[in-house]
Amino acid sequence: MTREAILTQLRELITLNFEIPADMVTPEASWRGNLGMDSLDLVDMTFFIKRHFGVDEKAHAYRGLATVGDVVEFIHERVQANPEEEA
Amino acid sequence: MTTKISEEWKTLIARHQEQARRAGAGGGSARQARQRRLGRMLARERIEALVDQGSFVDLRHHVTHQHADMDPRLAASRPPGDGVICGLGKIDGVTVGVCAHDVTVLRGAVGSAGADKIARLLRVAIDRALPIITLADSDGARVPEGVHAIAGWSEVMGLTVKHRKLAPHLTIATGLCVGAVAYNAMLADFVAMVDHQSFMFITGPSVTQTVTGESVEIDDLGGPALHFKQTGACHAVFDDEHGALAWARALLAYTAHKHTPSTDDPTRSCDKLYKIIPTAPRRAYDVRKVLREVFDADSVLELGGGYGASLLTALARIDGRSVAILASQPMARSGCLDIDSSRKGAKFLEYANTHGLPVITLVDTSGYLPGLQQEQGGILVEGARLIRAYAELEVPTISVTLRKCYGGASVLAGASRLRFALPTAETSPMGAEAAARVALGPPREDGSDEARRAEFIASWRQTHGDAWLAAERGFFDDVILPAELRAHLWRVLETTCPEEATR
Repeated sequence: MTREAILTQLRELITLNFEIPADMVTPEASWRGNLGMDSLDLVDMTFFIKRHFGVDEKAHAYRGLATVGDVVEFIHERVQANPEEEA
Repeated sequence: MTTKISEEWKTLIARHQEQARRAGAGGGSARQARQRRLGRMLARERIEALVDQGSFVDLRHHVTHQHADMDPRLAASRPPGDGVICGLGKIDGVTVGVCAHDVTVLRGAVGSAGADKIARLLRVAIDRALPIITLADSDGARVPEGVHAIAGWSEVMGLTVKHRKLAPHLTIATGLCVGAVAYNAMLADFVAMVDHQSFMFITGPSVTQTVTGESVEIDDLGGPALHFKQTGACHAVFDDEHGALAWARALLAYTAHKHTPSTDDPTRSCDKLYKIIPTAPRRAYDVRKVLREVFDADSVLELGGGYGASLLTALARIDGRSVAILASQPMARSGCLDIDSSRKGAKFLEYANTHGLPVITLVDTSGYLPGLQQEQGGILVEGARLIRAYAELEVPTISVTLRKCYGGASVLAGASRLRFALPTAETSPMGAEAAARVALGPPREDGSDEARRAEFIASWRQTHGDAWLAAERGFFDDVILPAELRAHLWRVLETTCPEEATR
């Protein structure tokens, strides 16, 4: 799966589950500052990522991933490493 | 023959259906769908899974807040029920009060209308001494309502404390519990959390960072692992909500049904104890195995197992009779009492006393844990709290010293009205090896004092460590063989606990 495809699907997940307009979900957007998500939202986000992309990582593995682009890269690395887990 | 319904009635029925639909819709279908996508239950589904089928009755079903003028978010969200479901239901035929926060309505934040509703439930529960189960999933007090929310919560807190003296209160943190809701959970008797879903704290990571500058993760601030292992705020952690709801039902049964039929023979021999309990005083073993052997099959429910691990607390049954158990855990710090285990034990004794459960203490401890950390952390305060809790017990109390009971920790054996011992019991101000060290100094490196030390230790054990000698001196009422422990405890409970005292 390409980074572009991951970003598209991640944008859909965010729009659907967090009531955030799609045009705000850019690779540069920060989760907290730009998208206004709080800690619990981010825990829920990891759950949606697990379900959709098959990336089974605990919330603390996402520490330091400040932007949407960081998470796209994080998912991309894991999907490439375990392509059979891709949902 | 069909009953003819007038147009006026049809209008009222339609209105009723519409109100019911609105009340059931909570914060709207989109938020409910999101909750489902997260694999979480809706508030009303949680209640349905908790109580006996078809038994739930709402209180103040349609109440809404009256503060639309205070904030645009309040003006936009006025669903019937105001984000809290309160009512009465039955669990195994026993009436209970239930309060469930609906996270889809303003993230479950509770304002004055919701707090009034919870207060009403508490008053009903206080009047009838009904247990309460709170299914907490809330941002806490509803900030836009300002002082109205604060006033409501103050009343809820006061009533919660009064209620706890009359009937059990369990909280399941089904999601986020912040501020007032987290505090209210701490006023309950027992709390369960759900992994990767429940968090409890006074303020979340964002406010913490704003106020203190600390960047913290939500797990570190209030996750299940923190509260189960470090703070002792949580007594059980589950993989999903169904497990937590089943736990609440099981836990309530110990007080709601203090005598149940049992198929486990009360005089069953406990031969396995000869293998489980070592005669050597310093060999560790898991006291859970002792509990499983002595009490009714599948009846032991451990509470708070992650915290204060050197003193296990559990509910169990013997011939169907509910009992509260405190048991030294030799696998953890040689069963030494410390700050955490003293605090846990004291709170558990308060619960047993309030709800009329006989207390059985199984003792195998090397004493109080010494050290700077314990002294500076307040072992005197918490140790005294445990002693006070034992002294205040009005329920039947029985202790069984399984092996050793040294020093200040002898409160575990000594505070019970009836005291028994296995033949392996050693009860003294300190263990023989420690006494030798005090009397003779540390062992010499060349081993030249070995014989003298061995003689001292043997003499000490003979003078202080023998179970029958302690019985001769009146400390123990009797010395029991391990195989006979279950039958003995059953006999003691049957003869010393009049049924009415524990009902």
